[in-house]
Amino acid sequence: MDLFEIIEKPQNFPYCPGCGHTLVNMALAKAIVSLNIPKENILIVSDIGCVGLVDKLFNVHTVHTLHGRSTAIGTGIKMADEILFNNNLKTIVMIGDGGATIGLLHLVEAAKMNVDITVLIHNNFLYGMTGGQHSGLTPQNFITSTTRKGNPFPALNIIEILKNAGASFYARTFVQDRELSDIIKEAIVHKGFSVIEIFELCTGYAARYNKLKGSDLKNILEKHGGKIKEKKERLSFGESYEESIKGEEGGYELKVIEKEFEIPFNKSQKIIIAGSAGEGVQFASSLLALSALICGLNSSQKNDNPVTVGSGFSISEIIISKEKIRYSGIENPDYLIITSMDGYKRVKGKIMKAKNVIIDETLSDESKFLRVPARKYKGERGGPTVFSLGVLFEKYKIFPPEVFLKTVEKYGKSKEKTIKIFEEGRKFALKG
Amino acid sequence: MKTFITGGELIAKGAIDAGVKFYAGYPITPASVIYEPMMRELPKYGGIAVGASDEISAISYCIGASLRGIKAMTATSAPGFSLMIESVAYALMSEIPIAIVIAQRLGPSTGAATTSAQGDLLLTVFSNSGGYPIPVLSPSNIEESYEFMIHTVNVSEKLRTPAVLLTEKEVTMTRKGINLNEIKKPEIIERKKFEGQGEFKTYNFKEISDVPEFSPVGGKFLTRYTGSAHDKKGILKKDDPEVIEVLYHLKEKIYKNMEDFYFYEYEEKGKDVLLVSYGITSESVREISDLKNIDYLILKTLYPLNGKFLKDVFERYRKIVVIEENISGSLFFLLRHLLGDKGVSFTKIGFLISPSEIAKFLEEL
Ligand code: SF4
Repeated sequence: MDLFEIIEKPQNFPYCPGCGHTLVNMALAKAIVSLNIPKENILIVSDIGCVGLVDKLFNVHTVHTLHGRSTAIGTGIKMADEILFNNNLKTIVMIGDGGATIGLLHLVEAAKMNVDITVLIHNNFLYGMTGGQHSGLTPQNFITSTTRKGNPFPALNIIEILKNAGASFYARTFVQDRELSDIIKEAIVHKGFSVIEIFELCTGYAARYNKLKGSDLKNILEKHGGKIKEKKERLSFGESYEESIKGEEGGYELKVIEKEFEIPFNKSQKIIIAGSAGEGVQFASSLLALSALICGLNSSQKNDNPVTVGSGFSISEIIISKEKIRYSGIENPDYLIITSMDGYKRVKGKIMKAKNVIIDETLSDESKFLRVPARKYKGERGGPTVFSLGVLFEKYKIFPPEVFLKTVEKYGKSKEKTIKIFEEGRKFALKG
Repeated sequence: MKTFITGGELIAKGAIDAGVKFYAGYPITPASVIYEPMMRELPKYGGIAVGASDEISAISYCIGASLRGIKAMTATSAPGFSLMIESVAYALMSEIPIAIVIAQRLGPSTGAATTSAQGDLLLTVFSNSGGYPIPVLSPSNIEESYEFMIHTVNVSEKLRTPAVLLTEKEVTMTRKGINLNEIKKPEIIERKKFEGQGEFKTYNFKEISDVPEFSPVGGKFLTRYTGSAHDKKGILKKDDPEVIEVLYHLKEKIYKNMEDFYFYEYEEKGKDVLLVSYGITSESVREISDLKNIDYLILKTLYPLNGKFLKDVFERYRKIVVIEENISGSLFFLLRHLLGDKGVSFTKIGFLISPSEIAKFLEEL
């Protein structure tokens, strides 16, 4: 393969004379040619900035992305390529200072997951395209258009960060390094995440502001950790992923709820169950909704809780109907079941609108309400709700108890305990 | 035969049946109920489901997978979608199909995660820099969430665009017994691929509204994708009439190819008041319409609007009440130019709008 089959002649590059990007591009093109990879199997993902002008210089697949997102988009491409295709696509991400800092999390994640991409960080110590402003990679005391007296802060050591994130190939060097093309070659061949930080000069700004020559780069490199190149053996993203899903098969089947009972049922029933989060209110309530379904009826369960699942109120609104259910909220409940103070506070406004109220005996002295010892069962997950359902079934005959028992048998968790508490509730209702 | 299921799970199932093979997500209530089944089920279909470290990573991974030629999607809520917006515009400009579910919750900002709302319609419709359109669809109940997830993937693949399924917490998280035969499955649409006829250009079109034939990165034909102004070949350019033509094409491609995707439900009873709504509020509208014999129109395609059809319908009424669960009437705002002075807005936040509240509003009208 001829070098200029895959890359434009350097005299046509859009960079300022002496810009390090020219050298990196040539080193990359040489690496590709020497590896003899077909053009169709090479992808360059570019970022924003002068470095992002690279697309049209290369005769390979190119994706020009957003600022900082090139690594993440390259990651998505390679994830799909490694697992769903034949894993032939060599994905090279070209970023500058901004791509590295805006996209820092993407770099860390790609390194962590060992996604098989090669990232070339063109570190020229500032933002060139926008006028030489300082960046996260600007060395301390370095002069830029926004740090005229020198940058007060040290540069991020990006390779150190990515090494700690798990990068399986990382290197740092400078653009005149004669080995640069070989290092790039090694990175491309490496299976897993590889990153090379390349120190270079922005002749447009950095060289002028800091009176630097190309030969000063080596010095700057020495002061910032020196040249390194390390490799580690690790499973690639695709290998780890495939390992993690081994044996996953079958399809996404919707669970069919069989009709088990034929019972007369006319008027729709609206039940609100209000308790405390973390006490299994919503799961236990689903047993009521399922009871309706196994009788061939319709039901809906609209849940509400504050942000965490372990504190505050937990509410289920259940509608049971022969007809299709539309609006799933409940304004005037037929039954309002309150099993805790959290629940009480949340539904207070509806107590007067409820036809029947079943409430834990510690929460109210009101004789109009059916007061029950529901909280006695709070030690069991769903206990207070299941106890109250026992009362509801026995006292108000909403369904025959066999319906609930069957529901628990088919869809319950810790079935024996659930049935025991339900029966306690029934017994209580019978006595009262 | 019935199943007892949330809209979130039906959306996940719809996505898988639509051929989605890549999901990247970041948890957020009330969209986590889509993320979880996708992580659980997609590997069974040979697909990839990954957790990302934020919403920007999630959508970027999806864009990457779609560029490789895979149907990809993510799901979030407004706080996450706000982070994704730059990337949505990127997918629009680069003509990359991607399906995004937004499960609305009470805003603004992080608002209330577990409270249903319909406040993000305008954020979604006008989310793109430059003012370019993206299709926005919305199921009007839990039963339809499966079908509309498929429509959303279909429209995004067919038009090579990001497309949004806009829904609400009470669809994704409410569990309902549903007859399996109520769940409708639309035909699955595949992205049109370039097969080697003539010269390949990443953004080739003859008519301005044509959807360019797709070729994946890593495929036989060298591709040039870009989010910057470009010509049909994908070469970054500025001073070229073709660049402007490509930009007009991004608009025309959507407006001219929506015919198969204008979804609505119109109940005509010959009265002079029309109720208009979308999403979960539609259920209350249906209920009150049944009870009081009132006409209604439920929009299931929220953008672009089928202006001619809407004008035709609106002409038949004396009053048109737009009902939605937000604070300033987003759908009303979107329809205002078609409503003229017949339009009335009824909004509320904090709880679902109930049929009786609609009835009361109509009495006081
Ligand atoms: S401004 Fe700096 S980085 Fe940009 S092309 Fe010129 S020298 Fe290179």
